[in-house]
Amino acid sequence: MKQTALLAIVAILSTAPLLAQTAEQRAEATATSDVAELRSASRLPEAVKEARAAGTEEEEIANVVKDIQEKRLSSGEGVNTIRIMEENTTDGVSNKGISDFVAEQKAKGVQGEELGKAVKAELQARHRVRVEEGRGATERKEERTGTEEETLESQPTGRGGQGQGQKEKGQTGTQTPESRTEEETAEKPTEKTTK
Amino acid sequence: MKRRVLLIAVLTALVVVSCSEGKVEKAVSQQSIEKVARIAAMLESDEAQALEMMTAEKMTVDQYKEIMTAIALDEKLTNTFVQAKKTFMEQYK
Repeated sequence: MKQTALLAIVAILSTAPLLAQTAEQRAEATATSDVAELRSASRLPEAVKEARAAGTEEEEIANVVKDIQEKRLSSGEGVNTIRIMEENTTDGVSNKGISDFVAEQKAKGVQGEELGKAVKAELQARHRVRVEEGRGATERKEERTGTEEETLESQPTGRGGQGQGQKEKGQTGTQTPESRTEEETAEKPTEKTTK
Repeated sequence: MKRRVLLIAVLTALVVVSCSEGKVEKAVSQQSIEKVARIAAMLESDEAQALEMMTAEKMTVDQYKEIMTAIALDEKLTNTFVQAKKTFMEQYK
């Protein structure tokens, strides 16, 4: 009994310095992380000011700052996100909805630099999609105007427009009123009414 | 019965006081902006001194962050802070 008690005391005494060391290391680690948090927090107002000056959406800025307030984001992550949003705005791209994406990524456990990379990638992907959609829309428009002009060209122009020749693509067909009415009657014979 | 009434009264008073304290803290004063601007300026050059300043002001990291986020949410406060920080940084050079 006495021996076990002695052994227990010895074991406790031997682990005490180790425990003290780990406690010191933890204290140092928290001190370093505190300083890092303080630095990032002190840069937050400047980052926000620059983002506002660039024209970044106020709603998105406010959402990120509120996430920092409610400890869903660290100060460093918040500042980094706002800086990425500012760069994005300078490139002429919208940041709408990006604060929701940040919240989703944090919920998945993405943090620190990885979060910044994910936000940047997401904004670039959204921009690409918008550019492609824009291109697609303009191509469709061109196709439509092209087919309309082709149908105009294929219509007989000889009746009212001898010597007019073929029209170039891109030009809108100009027809004399006489030829137009002749063509309309030619196209729609059923509409003739006998008076 | 009297003890219960007294206890409820004390608890209510505590709740009211804590709520009013919270409201006062949320409004960022010019004094608070100046304090955090000084600390922020000092952090850029001397971390140890900045931490000492925080201890002297009896300010925790969380309180500092709370003030900073409140400043960031308001455009006028942000501009005031940025200007104050620049001024103090020049002083501490």
